[in-house]
Amino acid sequence: MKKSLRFLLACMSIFALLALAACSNSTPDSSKEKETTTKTTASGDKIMYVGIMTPPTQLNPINARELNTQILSSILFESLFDLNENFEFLPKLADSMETEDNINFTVNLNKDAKWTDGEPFTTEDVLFTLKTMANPEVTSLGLQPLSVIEGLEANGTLAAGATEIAGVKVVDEHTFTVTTKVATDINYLKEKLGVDIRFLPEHVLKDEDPVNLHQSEFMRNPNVTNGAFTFVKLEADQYVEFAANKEYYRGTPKLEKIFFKVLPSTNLVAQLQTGEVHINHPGVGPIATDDLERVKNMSNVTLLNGHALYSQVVYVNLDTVSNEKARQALVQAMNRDLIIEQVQQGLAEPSDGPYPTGHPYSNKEKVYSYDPEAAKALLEEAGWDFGKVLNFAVPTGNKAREQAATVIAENLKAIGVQVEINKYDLPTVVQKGAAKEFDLLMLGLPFTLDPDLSAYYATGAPYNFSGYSNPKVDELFAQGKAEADVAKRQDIYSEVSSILQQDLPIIHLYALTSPGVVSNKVVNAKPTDFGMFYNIHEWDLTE
Amino acid sequence: MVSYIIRRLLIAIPVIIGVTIFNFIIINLAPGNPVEMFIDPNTSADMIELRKEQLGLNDPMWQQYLHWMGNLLQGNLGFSYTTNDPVVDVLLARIGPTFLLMGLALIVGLTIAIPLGILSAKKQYSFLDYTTMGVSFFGISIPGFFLGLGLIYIFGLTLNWLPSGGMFTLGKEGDLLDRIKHLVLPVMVLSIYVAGTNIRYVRASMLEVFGQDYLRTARAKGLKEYVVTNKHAFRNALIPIITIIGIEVPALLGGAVITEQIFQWPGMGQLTIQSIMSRDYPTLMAINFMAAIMVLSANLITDIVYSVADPRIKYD
Repeated sequence: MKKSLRFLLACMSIFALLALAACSNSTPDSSKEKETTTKTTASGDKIMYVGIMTPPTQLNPINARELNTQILSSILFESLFDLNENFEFLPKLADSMETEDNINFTVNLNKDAKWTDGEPFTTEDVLFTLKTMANPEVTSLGLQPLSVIEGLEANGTLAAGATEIAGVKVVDEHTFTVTTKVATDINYLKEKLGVDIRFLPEHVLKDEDPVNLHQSEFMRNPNVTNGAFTFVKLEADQYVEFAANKEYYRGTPKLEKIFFKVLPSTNLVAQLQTGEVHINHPGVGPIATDDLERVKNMSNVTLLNGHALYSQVVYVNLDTVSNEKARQALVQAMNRDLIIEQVQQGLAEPSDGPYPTGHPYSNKEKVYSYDPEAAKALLEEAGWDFGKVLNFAVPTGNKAREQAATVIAENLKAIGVQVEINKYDLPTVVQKGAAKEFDLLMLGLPFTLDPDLSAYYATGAPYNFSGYSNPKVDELFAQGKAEADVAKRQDIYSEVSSILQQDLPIIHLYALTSPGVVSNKVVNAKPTDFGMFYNIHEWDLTE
Repeated sequence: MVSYIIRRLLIAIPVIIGVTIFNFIIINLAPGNPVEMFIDPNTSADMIELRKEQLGLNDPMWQQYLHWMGNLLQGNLGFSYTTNDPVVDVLLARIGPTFLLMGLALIVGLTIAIPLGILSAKKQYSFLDYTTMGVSFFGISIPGFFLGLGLIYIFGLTLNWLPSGGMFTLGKEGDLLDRIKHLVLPVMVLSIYVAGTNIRYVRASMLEVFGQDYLRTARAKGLKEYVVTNKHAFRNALIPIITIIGIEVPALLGGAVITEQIFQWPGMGQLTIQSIMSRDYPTLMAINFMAAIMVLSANLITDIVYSVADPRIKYD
């Protein structure tokens, strides 16, 4: 082969490598990037940076699978109501929800609400969204929690062939009614329909194929929204950029832009210190416990503690640890106070029963305390086999939880229970849970305001990994869901609490509080788990 | 040569098919599945079944594979299960940052390694030689994550000279200097590894060549020392080095996974970890497919460069 040809080929291959390396600078977005730069720098001053840890994957309002997507998409797509940190409902897209018999509910929408393209937000949008979510063909979270509504199946879908939800009727452009199958607590509807559901613009999406709706251009780049800020850009793993919606129905936002910046927690604290981040979101941008001392000593920020909402629990496999006394012994052997103090740096409260201490339905009586001697005695009484080794499944990814698991294993060894910790990534732990391939399994449970915990305790429920089945509890959950009177609901769930505390299919260890940090330059914004963005249009920065 | 390249490309086809089958099996054997990952505790069991059905996860594995392969042949890599974006878009957004990082690390690493390796060989057993070897040993043995965290601590948090992560400061996307600052630390971590390994190869290779008769002849002809070293010796020493670099390119991709994770660099590495965690099968398959193509092309390019460096090598 000719030398020149060889040389040419070599040059070409090296060039190919370099071209690949260089193409990073000419990704399709680079021209768009430049555009945003000039805009950002031109409008300069009023830009707020919010620190978050886990990157959102998308902003689809009807299929928000992780907390981050739920939280960030709620800025673009509003709900009828919002919950504040004291669990009060505040009006948003709806002015009010009223009922006289707890079966027929009337919802009045805010007449000023409109989409960013100028179209008004109407009951048609509400109806369209609910029908879309109830369509089993559509990839969405579905309406399972709203199966109390007339016309929806038990799993929250429309019956085969049905196209209308019988229990949802449009009265006029700004009024609709909801009819439930049984009497329902209005707060239940306010949360499940009012806060959890966010609405899609019917006039934009009515011709989309429902099957591929989740992959549509609109879901990837939502450009017709109704919140105080509009979507500019989601750069995977880096940031989400929002710009003020000048026509926002509750008042023009004071900030020009908001960036949600994705950072590891150590960087988050460092950037709060340098002023590159103004505020964290406690739910998705928690401050690492190790950094708390540092934050307390920083003069330019304020540290705020939240409610104890997020339960850390240990599921007990009832097939392998079938004796109730043995399970009670396990709880008493666990030194929860030590974990809270040492591992969680005091940012947690011990919880007795399924409702965390920050929950309105929490019954705050203390049931079990740390008592290894009593635990040992109970084990003897239960005839525990001390040769048996318990398989303790622990998810990786949350350092504090992994450390807590180690403490628990040591605690159990101290009373003679053999424990082997097995760590897996979250999907594996969930699968092991569903397949009952564990004796003890640690998990963090999400917070829901409504006290219905049937997903974890009802016979055959999807997250009932323990294999718990108690007809009395099943019945109480059914009663609780159908009870409209708040005081009576409280009684029902108190009873559930005390039964579960005896049976202990799931050991509730403690509930975590998530601290918030806010720069002293920030006006009107406060890091809270709930309702943080309710007044986002009033957020401001001082010099 | 041309027929050789064509032959190599044809052999690559069954190799890639084999690699994708192997990956498909391994990915599907991992416990947990994408549907269970998305699901909220309140979702009913039949909804989970319906979603599995919609994604085709209930089909036998071979059928799922053929379906994937069929789509691939039509240029369709599918949609990501987590973001619902077309996988092609997801990959395209990530390839650039990764190649930028790897390319720079390779260039910087080799720029350090080649002259130092040659010098070290020329001055064997000197102070310089020992120091260089010591430094290279450090570069090879220090784990990337440790070095990365150390550099973040020193330059990012303590001295506050360089940003500790990300690709650019938000709002400064167009600022070249800012982008360069963000590149310094991750490139440093990767290029220290590249330099560390290659200094030793360059040195060893040069030492071997220095003992050869033809160099003595060249010197006897009265050629200047730098011509002897840089033209005659280096050219011959280059051949084994090229092979090593060819092998290193894919290894560098592996190193980038951890480095990207540490520096929040939005490249393939981070994407890979997230796709594994969320069991995003279509994205994972596409990443593996691409990695296979990269390894094969790196090898092919190595062979071509090889024949240029040493005209005695013929592939015909």
